[in-house]
Amino acid sequence: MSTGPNLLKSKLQLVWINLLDLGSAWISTLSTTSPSWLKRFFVHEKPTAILRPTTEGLELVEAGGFRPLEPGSKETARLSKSHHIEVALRPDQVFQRQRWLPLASSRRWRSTLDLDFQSNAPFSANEVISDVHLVEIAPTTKRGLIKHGVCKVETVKDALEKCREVGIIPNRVGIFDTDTDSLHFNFLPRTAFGHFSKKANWTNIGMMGLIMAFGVFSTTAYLNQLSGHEEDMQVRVAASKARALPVLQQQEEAINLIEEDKFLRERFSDRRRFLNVYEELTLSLPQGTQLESLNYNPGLVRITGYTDNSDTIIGDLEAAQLVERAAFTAPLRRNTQHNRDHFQIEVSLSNTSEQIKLTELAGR
Amino acid sequence: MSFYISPSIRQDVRKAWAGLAALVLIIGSTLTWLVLHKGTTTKANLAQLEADLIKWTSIERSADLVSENLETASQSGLRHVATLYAESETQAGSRVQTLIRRALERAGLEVKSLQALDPVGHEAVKSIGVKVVFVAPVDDLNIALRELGNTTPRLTIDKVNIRQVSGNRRAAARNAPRQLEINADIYAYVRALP
Repeated sequence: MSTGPNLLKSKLQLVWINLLDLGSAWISTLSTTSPSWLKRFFVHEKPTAILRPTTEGLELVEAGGFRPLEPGSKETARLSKSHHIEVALRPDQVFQRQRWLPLASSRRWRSTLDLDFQSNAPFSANEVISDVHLVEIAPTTKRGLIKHGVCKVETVKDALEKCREVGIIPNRVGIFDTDTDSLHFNFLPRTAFGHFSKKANWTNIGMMGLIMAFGVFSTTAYLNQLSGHEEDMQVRVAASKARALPVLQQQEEAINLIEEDKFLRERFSDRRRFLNVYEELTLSLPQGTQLESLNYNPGLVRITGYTDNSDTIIGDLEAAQLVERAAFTAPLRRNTQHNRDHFQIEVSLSNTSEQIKLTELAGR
Repeated sequence: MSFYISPSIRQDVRKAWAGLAALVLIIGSTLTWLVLHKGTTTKANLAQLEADLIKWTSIERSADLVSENLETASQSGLRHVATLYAESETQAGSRVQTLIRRALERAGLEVKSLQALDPVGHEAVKSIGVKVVFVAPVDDLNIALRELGNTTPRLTIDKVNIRQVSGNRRAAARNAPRQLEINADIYAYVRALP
């Protein structure tokens, strides 16, 4: 009884087999339908030579009959080098039958027919070798007529031994079909690449591989060069940044100092500072004036007091450089005892006052 | 060996070649995109790095000039005269109070009260203020103000209220000098506060 992981494993195997089937079918379709110039590029087109094993050795099948092949002869060497060698077994050496089966891959047809054969024949799977051949398709039923061929392993080994004795390595072992005048089946071990390697035009493939390798190499080298340059630049930028950061810090410090200096210059060069205002106001007040109170806020001064010259006090104050406007904020009150006027004045200070020299301030 | 393939695929040659073309197109375009993307990204990074290198190198080259500027700025006489160095507001406040007290002492006056004001922040420097109240004979007011104005570091008198607290007719009869009460907000600019 199959467990969960085993079931999954077998399903994955099934998917893999189906993918392989599809891939092999696809590649086969492309290879069989590819244009001749493309085929010639990849594969050496060789004429086919069909051989027949006999009790004495091998015979070459020709139009006029059969000709025995001598071991080590020039002809044998020529055939081996320049021909696609196929070995045709006798029809009585291969068990054949035909079945209509649903359209599927050759692998599936073969496994299905093998299972059917082995359940009825007195041979184990190791003793026989099989293959299938598609004879025809019925489009209406979507079924194919499949010819199934089974051959004893001993028979194939015997044919291969005869080839070896003569000095030939065959590309295919099957049976000759007189109807189609071609070989059916292939009872050689199924190594697709090995079969291809015998026919491949390695010069062209190698050249193509070299061109592709050169393309890959040059692209990779170009990208590596760019990456190397980038890494180099990163190192240089990091080093430069490390040297520049203290400079930036110094620059920031200098800017702060300059801003601070500017701020202080603005503050200390403002003539409307209290000490300047006090000095100028007291000097501007007319003779016979006595202050009772003074209230200073930046830009505005309020003063109260007594004066003998109430007629000129406003004019005298407004004559001062720092004063923009001076005005009574209450009516004058006459003090009869002192014979003086009590005043309340509001003084607005000028916005555009003359700036004092900073060196003067610093030196004070 | 020959492949016996599914007739449905074998017959649909167009599909097989279209599949190959699609595969080649997908793989080719993916590889091309990867190479182009990598190249473009790296080139953009290089351009950015070159710009950064120019920036940092130019900053690096201006080290002498910056150093000179810093030295010039730090040697400003005004800064040394006009600002107070302190490590905390408490320390700064205490130093401002001491400055005011000593200035008034030099004028022969005593402080009536001192009260710390909230610090005022400016972009470059901070002002630490004190509300001070002192009484001065009218004749000594100018001396007191001059002393307050001549401290190092400099003090800034922001708001002032001067009023006469004695000097009525009886005081005048005794020839006693008029007494003024001065109420002022005095600030010092402080550097290096955290």
